[in-house]
Amino acid sequence: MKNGISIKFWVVFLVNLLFVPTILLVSLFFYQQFKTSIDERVLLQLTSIRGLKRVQIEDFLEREWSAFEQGQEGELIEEEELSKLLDKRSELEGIHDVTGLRSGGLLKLAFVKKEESRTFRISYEDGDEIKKILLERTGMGKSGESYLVGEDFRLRSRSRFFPEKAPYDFECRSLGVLEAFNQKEGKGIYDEYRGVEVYGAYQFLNARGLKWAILSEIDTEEALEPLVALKKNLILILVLSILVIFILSLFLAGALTRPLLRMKYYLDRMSHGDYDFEINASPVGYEMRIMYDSLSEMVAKFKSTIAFSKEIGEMNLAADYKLIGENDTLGKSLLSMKEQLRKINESESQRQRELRSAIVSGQEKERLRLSKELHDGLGPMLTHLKLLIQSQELPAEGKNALKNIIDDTVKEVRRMTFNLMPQSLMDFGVAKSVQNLVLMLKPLTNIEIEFIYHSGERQGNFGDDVNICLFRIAQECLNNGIKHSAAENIVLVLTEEKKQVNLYYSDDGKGFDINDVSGGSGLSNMKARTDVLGGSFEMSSAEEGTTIDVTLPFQK
Amino acid sequence: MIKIGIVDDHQLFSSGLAAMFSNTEKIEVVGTYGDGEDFLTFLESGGEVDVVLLDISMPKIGGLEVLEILRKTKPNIKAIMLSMHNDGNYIVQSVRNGALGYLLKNADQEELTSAIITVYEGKKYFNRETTELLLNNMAVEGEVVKKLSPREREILELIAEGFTTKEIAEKLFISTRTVETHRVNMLKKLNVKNSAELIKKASELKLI
Repeated sequence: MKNGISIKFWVVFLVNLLFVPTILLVSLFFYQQFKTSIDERVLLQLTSIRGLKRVQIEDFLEREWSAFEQGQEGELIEEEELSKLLDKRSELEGIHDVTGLRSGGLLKLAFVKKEESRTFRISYEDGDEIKKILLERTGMGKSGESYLVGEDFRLRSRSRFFPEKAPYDFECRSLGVLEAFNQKEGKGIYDEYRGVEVYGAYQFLNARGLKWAILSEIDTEEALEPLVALKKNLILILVLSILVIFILSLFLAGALTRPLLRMKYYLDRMSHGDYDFEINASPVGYEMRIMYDSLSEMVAKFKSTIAFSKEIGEMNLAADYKLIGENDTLGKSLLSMKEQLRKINESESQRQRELRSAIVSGQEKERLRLSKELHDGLGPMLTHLKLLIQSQELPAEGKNALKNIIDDTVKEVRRMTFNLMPQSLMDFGVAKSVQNLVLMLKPLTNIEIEFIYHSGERQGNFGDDVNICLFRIAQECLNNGIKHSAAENIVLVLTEEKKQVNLYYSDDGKGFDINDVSGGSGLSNMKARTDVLGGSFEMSSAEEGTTIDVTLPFQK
Repeated sequence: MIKIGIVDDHQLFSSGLAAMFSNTEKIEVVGTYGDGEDFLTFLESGGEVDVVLLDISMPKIGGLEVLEILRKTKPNIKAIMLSMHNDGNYIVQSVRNGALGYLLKNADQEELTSAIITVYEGKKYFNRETTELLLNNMAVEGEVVKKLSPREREILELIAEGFTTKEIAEKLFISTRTVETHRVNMLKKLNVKNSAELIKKASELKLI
């Protein structure tokens, strides 16, 4: 999983791929729009300036011409002389540009009027007014100028860039000039006489035979200054935008990938079997949130499954588990495992019960056998011995002593027989045997022993197993009570109920520690006997005494 | 001569007894029988005894059963139980079944003789020991215990105060079944049907 390009990269890459060209295009478009609009504006302005200048110049020339025509100014000159002077054969009347011919490169105009046949009047004018008109530079900025170019492609008006030089020294074959002399009126971007790129508006100017091109121009550099500024700003904005987009895309990618990586961390932990964590992330985005919700739910369900399996592991088979869904194979397996374990457990405890039952009944059989042997074997022999002694001719004293010993022995045998297995247990049931036991024990102790029997249909005879079990428990309780409890009162209650019999023992003695194992085998014996017969055994012991509560169901 | 039969599954003992009585003048041992069946067969075949010495634990037909049969078929035969059991229950049961005497097997010859004579005369014979056992047993049996144990009194007081079985169990650190057992025991002791009657009767008897 190490190779492959990360989501983060893709997000950054795609976002940038989408936005950067867009911004670039928009900027470019915007830039172009701006440039076009500047071009139009500037050229429009130049055209109108140029137009104004032309009208002014033409007006001026027309006015001068009228004044000259009506006036008497100038000198008279012969046609031939004039032709030489003007270096021209035809069309001598009118205004002539004589800059190249006369002055040292400064504008010079000659007004010529035919006075008589072959006589012309000529007056010179040095275009100061024209210069003034051209120099008026309202709305032309720093580099704007209007100027005139003659048919010889030489400047007629002074260049503002070279005021000390004669205009005639400059040759100008710019596109504007060429176009103008082609009788075209127009505007455009071209290189002028200095070799500098300019915006220009041009027109052919024709007044009384005077042929000029009039041009109004402004350096593109100046005109485009706002565009340069805009370009700088645009680039700045572009760079900033790209930076912001990049950072945003990084942030976005982070917001997308962080919860994913966090989730990977959780999944890793889960894949290592560790479910013991809380998912406390609140990721951005609805989908992420529902994914996390699902994860939380999954973890919770896993936890419950794990808790359940733990319970099973600890053999707590009472634990219950609700299947997560129809396909919850794990849950189903666990449930069937629980069921299997429960069965095994049951059969095991059944086996244990049978085993204990076998041991207990074996014990009891052995006791019964011993009891019978004592009663049927030893008893008669002793009584026979006594009879024999009675029938012997012996000294009375010795005879009595012997008889007393035999009586004591018989009593002892009876006691042993009773303790081993009282015959009355079989013949009269447990109630009477316990009652008899209490009667036997009473003279041997100072403890007040009370036996209460609440009889029912069965008259205290519940079948050998229950009889023996209850008798043994009563025996054990009484023996313990008499020996260890230091009680003043012992109460033993036998209650026959409909389907069960309850034996309740209570003393007001000093109690003992139930958990102390040394207090042992008697208690565990009682429990085991109760267990074998499927009864319940409860015991409590405290400073104010001990109670034992045994309930046995009647055998079917 | 009093004719007696000895019914005991211990041959040695019965023949010993028979030998013992053989040199007395008043008592004649008619026969010894290994169990109840033997003896009853003897009677059926016309045999007669005045007094029978019966063991309790015997194969086939035991002594208590023989007594029942005798009471129905030969009520004039007097029976003395001669048993190893010094268990009051057997004495009570024997008396109920019609025995006139009860002796333990280690009884002396003199006692046996006087018991046989007493019974033969239609009187009952019990020595001090058996009388005591008999009375003890009957006294216990007939006793109506009107006394509540300290624990029962404690529980009754809590019941009277209105606590539930569960609350009482928690208070006294015992199981609810134990409480219930005590309650049922008290109902029986005082011969009442429910807790209300129990409280009423207990206060009447000044038990609480």
